[in-house]
Amino acid sequence: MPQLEQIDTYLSQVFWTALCFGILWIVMWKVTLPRIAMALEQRQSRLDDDLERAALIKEEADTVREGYEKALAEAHAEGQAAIRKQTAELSEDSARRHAELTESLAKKIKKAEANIAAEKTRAMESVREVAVEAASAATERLVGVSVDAERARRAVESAMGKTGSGDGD
Amino acid sequence: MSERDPSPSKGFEARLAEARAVRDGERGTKDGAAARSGMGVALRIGLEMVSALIVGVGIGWLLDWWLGTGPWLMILFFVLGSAAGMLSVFRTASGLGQGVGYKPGKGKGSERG
Amino acid sequence: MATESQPHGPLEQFIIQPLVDVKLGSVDLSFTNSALTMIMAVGLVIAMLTIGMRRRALVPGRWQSIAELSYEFIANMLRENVGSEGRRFFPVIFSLFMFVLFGNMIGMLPYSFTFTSHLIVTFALALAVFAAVTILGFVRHGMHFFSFFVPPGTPLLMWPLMIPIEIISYLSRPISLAVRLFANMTAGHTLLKVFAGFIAALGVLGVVPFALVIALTGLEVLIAFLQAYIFTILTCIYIHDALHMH
Repeated sequence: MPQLEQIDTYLSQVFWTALCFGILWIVMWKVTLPRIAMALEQRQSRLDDDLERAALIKEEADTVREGYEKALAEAHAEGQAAIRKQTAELSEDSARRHAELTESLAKKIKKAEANIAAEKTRAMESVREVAVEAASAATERLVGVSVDAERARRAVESAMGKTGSGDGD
Repeated sequence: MSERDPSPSKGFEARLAEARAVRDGERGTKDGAAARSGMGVALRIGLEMVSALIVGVGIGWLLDWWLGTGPWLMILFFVLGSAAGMLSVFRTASGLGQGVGYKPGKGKGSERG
Repeated sequence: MATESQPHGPLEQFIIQPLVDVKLGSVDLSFTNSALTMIMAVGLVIAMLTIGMRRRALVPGRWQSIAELSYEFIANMLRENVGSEGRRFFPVIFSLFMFVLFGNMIGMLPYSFTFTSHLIVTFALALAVFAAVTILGFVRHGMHFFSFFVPPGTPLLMWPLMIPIEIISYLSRPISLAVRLFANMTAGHTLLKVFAGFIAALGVLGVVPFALVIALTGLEVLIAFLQAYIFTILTCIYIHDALHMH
């Protein structure tokens, strides 16, 4: 086994091992490892920053959304109030109009009734006149006596009773 | 109408939490205990016994050479070396640790002796 | 093992061949094939890890990823096995891992040399680790370090027996550390060479050993990594022991 036979090479092997390992150690220690550490640290801090910023932006977005929702809710409430107000106004108006209409209708009815009453009176008047004439004509024909108009009228009036009394003079 | 609906941002929130958990996990220690195979343990035990024996015999031989006590110290230290080897075996087998002293829970790595 | 009589024997690959004679007085420090592969390993590590980091990109490229993965792999190993105090030892542990790993891996290439298959090299490394850890323990704990050799709860009567046993146990650390790496590398590479020899001998039928060699090469790559890992993790555990005792 050469490993155990070539004893004369041992010193050289140990020497070169120590030298090479020493060089590797110093280079790793002073150059390579700090560089890797720096790169890792940079990445870590960058990652932390990014995550931090993401959280911050999210918070901001939440605030904005909250504000927006609040504004929305306010606008909605305002709209509701306006609608309610409008509705109230409208109903009041219609009630008023309704009352007015009822009133005017009642007035018209009263007027019409008055007209009807007047018409009736006039009709009664003309009936009396016709009755007077008929009475005098009938008297003349039957009795042969000419009744003057004044008497005939009085007779008719008494016959008719008090119906048209208000209208006579 | 004005009900809150956080679902659009929920995905983002979850992702952010996940990313943070991953980052925090990377910082913590990972339990990277290597799997130890029975074969590896057996071979290591053999190697440790042999090493202890070599050291024991070597010390005995040196002391004999120095003190001129014939083969006796070598024999004594052969026995002591065997005992040390067996102790190593016992410690390795009961997972007490790699070497000197009763120290629990440090047996890591599967090894080929 | 008659290496000389078999020019293409499986052990031939382990022969040290001087390339440039270097003499320091009467001391032979010749530059050999072993030293050459060491320099190659060191150069390769430095090139891979340093050039990969030349442009420190936020999104790493392939080489930068390898450098960062290696860094975090060793950093985790150190943190798990030594604790936060271990940061001081990071450069040396990292270098140790890379040195052994590349020593093992370069040996996988055909016609190259595996310097970790030489007991003297692994023993030098293991002894350096052992000495450094022992000094660390003494610096850290002073004379209290000797309590290391008395397991807690040992009755006083047992001390004369336990102390030599524990000292032997402690001294056997560098030996098992060195022999493990050396034996694994030697056995693996010898086996590969033997099977590779079968390919040539069997001609057309060499397909079977060829497949086997491929499988073995895969296994050897795994073992090369595993052995570098074990060498390093044991060093970490020894450092932990020296720092915290029991």
